[in-house]
Amino acid sequence: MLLEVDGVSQRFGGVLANQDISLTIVAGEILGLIGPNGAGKTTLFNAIAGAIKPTTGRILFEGRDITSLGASGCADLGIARTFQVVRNFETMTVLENIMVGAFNRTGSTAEAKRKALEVLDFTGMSLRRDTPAADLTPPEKRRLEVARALATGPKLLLLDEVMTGLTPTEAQAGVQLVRDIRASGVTILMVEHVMEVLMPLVDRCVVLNLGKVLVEGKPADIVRHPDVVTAYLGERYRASA
Amino acid sequence: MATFSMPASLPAGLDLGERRRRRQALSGLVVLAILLVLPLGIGDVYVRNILILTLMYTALSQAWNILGGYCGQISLGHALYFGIGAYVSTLLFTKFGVPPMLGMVAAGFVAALIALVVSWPCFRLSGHYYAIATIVIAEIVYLLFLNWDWVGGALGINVPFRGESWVSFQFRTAKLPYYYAFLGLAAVLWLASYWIENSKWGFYWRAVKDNPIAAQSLGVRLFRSKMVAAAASAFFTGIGGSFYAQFVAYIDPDSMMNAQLSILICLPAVLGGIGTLWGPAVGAAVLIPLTEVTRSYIGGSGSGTDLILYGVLIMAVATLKPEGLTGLFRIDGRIKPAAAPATGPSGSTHAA
Amino acid sequence: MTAETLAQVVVSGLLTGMIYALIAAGLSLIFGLMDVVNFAHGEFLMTAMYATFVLYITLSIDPLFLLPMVAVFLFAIGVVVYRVLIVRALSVKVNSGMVQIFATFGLGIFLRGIAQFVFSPDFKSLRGTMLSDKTVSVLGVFMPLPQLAASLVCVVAFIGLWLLTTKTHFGRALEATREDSEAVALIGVDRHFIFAMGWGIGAATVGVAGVMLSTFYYISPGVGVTFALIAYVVVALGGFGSLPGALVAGLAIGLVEALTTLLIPPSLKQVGVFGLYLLVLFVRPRGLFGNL
Repeated sequence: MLLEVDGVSQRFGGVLANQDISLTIVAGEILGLIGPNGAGKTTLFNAIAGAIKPTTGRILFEGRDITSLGASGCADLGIARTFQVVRNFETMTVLENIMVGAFNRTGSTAEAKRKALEVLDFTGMSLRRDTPAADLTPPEKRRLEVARALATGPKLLLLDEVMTGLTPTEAQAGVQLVRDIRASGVTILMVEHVMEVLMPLVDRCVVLNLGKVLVEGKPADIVRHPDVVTAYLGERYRASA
Repeated sequence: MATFSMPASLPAGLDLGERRRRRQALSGLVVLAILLVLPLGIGDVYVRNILILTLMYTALSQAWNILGGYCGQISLGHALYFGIGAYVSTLLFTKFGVPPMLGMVAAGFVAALIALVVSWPCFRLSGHYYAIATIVIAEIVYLLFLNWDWVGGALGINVPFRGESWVSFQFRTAKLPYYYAFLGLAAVLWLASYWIENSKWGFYWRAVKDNPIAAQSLGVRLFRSKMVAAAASAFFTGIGGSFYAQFVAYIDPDSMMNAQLSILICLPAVLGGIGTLWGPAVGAAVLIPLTEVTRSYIGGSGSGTDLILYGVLIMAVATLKPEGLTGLFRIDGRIKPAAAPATGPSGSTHAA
Repeated sequence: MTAETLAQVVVSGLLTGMIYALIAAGLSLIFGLMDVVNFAHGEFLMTAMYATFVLYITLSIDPLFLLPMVAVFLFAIGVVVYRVLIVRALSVKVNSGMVQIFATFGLGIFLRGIAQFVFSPDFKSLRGTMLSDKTVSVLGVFMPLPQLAASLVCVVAFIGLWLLTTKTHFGRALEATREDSEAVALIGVDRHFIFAMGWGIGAATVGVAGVMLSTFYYISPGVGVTFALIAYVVVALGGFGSLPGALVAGLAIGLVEALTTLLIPPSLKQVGVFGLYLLVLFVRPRGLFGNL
C-alpha cells in the first residue's frame, strides 16, 4: 500500500467538501478518481498533494503521516502533481522548466540537466527543448506539466484532468504516455472527466459524490453500477443501467 | 521506456542556455578588458567620477537584481542596506579602529542579518504588500539613525584620513584606486549573477518568481528561497555602502539612506532588464551619465528634473517594454527561437 | 498632565485621524477593487494640494468652495491614469505584478518631479482663508477651525463613499467586479468602466482630503511621501480593501500619533505609528478587517 487516505474530511466555512473519505492506492497501479462536478475530487486531490490540510483524518504515504506536511514536503517524499489550470514557468524554456523539477533530487546543474533531458526524451518533447513555455500550444503545456512533475523522480504521480479538451489523437498519445509512466515504475492517481479515455486506462476506480466515496471497483463494474449512473445522470436513467 | 519514431530534426549540440552562457562569458571578458584600460585614457576628473558612480550603481543594481530580478521580490527601500553597510564599516573604523577592508565584510554581514530580520515577517506577504513594507521599514530606520546620537544623528560622521592604503581604503591624491575597487565589486557581482543563472538557486528563484505555487509542488521551499535571496542581496549592497562611505569620506542618514537612493538602486535593473545578467549594467550605463548630464545642464538637483527623468523612464519601461533595454536589443541573448516547424499537436510522435 | 491636556490630545488625534482615514480610504478602494496598490497615491494628494494652492492664488476663492473643482480634477486624473497607465500595465502577460508596482511607483516619482520643477521644493502655505487662524472651543477643548472643518468634511466624504459603495446600483456593480471581474461582463457590466470609475473615485477621495489639508498643512513636493507612508500604515492596520477598516485604523493611528507626543518629543511622533505598523506586520499581517 503506497498511499492511505484515512477518514479525511475537509470543511471550508459552511461547506463540507470531503466527508470521511477513506481509500488506498496500491503501488504500481493506475487509480481513477471520478465523480460529478462538485463531488469533492479536486479537494481530495489537493489534500493528498499537500496543498491543503484536511480538517480531520489522516493521509499516510509509505506508512508515514503526511497530513500536515505541505506541498514541498510531499514533493520531497515522492509525490508529484500537475495542475488543472496549467502552471508552467512562463519565462523559462521547456528544458529549464523540467530542470526545476529535476533539481528536487540533486544540487548539481549538470545532473539536473541530464535528468531533464532524459525526461524530455521520455515524454517526447525533445523538439521543443528550447521553446519558451509561453509559446507552447495548450496540449504541449499540459505535457510539460507532466514532464516537470516526472523530473522530481516521484513514486506517486497525481494527474489533474490532463485529458480534458484533447483531440482523439492527442488523447491517444496522452494515454500512451500514462502507460509508459506506469511502466517506468510510477504509481498514478488520475482525476478525470473524460470517461472514454479513463476507463480503458485505469486498473481501479473510486467514485466520489457529494463529498463522500460512493463506490470503488474495477471500471467495468463501476460503469454498470446503478448508484454511479444515478449520480451522473439522475434518477431517470437508473432503471436502464 | 517509451519508444517513439525519430522526429525530423532533433536539436543538436548545445541547447539555448549553453549557447547563451558562452555569449555571456565572452561579452563579460571583452567588457572587463575595456573597463580595465578605460580610465587610463581619461584624465578628466569629472568624467572619471561619472564612471565610478556608474560602476557603483551597476554593482548595487546587480545586488538588487538578485532579490528583485531573479527572485521577483520587489524591494523599494534597498537604500536601507546601503546605509547600514556604510554606517557599520565607518563606525567600526572611527570608534574601534577596524580597517575598512575588514569593516566592509562585517558591514555586509550586518546588512544581511538585518535583511533576514526585516524579511522574516514580510515574506509571508505577497508582492505589493512586501514592496510597501520595504518602503516603510526603510523610513523607520532612516528616522532612527537621524535621531540616534551614537551614530552621529543628523550631523553624520566624518571619515578621518589615516593615510593612503588599500587596507584603510583611502586615497586622497588619486581617485583611480576607487575606480578599480568599484569595478572589482561590479565584476564580482556580475560573476555572482552569472553563477546564479546556472545554479539550483537561480532556477528555484526564477520558479518562485514565475509561479510560486507550482514551485512549491516541485519541492521548492518558498520562504527559505526568498530569505536567502534577500540576505545575499543585502550583503553585497552593504559592501557597496561601505565602499561609498570611504569614497566620499562623510556619511549621514540623508546621503546614505534616503529614498532617492532606493530608486537609483533598482532603476538600472528595471531599465536594463529585470532578472537578466546584463540588464543592471546596461541600465546603469545609460542612466547614470544621463542623470549627471541632466543635472549639470538643466538646473541643479533641486529642480526635480532628475525625478521627472526617473519617473518617465520607469513608467515607459513598465508599460511599453518590461523586458527593458536588453530585451529591446536582444543583448542578453534570450533570443526567441524561429517559429517552430509545424509539428503534431503534442509536439511529438508516439508509437501507439 | 491634566484631564484637559489629555482630552485636548485625544481630540486633536481624532481630528487628524479622520483625515488619515479618508486618505487611506481612496487607497483601499482601488486596491480592494482590482488588487493594485497605487504607489502614486501620496502624489495624488500632493497634486490636489497644489491645485488648491494655484486656484486659491489665482481665483481668490476659498478652498472650501474649491472642493468640487479640485475633486473633479482629481477624478479626471484618476481615470486618465487608469486608461493610459494601468490598463497597459495589467495587460502584460508575464510578471504583471512587478510591472504594476513599477508603473505607479514611476508615476509618483514623475508627479513629484513635476511639482518640484514647477513650484520649487520650497514649502508653501495658504494664508488668509476663511477659516484660518480661528479656533473653536468645546467643553474646554480647543480645536483649530481648519482642522475641525477638514475633519468634518472627511466624515461627510466617508459617509458619501460608504453610501455609494453599499447602497447604490453602481456600488453593487463595484462589488461584483471586485468579486469576479471577468464574470461581470455576463451581466452587462463593463469592467474597464468600473475600474476607471474606481480609480476616479479613489483619486477624488484623496483629492478632497488634499483640499482640506492644504488649509492648514504645508504644501511641498514631498508632502505626498509623508502621507503615503501613513496611509500604508493605516491600510495595513485596517486591512487592505476594507473601508470600515480604513476608518477605524485611521482614527486609531491619529490617536496613537497624538498620544505618542505626550511621551516623546514631537519630532519623533512617528515612532508610535511605525511601531504599530511593525506590530501589525509581525502579529497580524492582514490587519483588523482584511483578508490576505
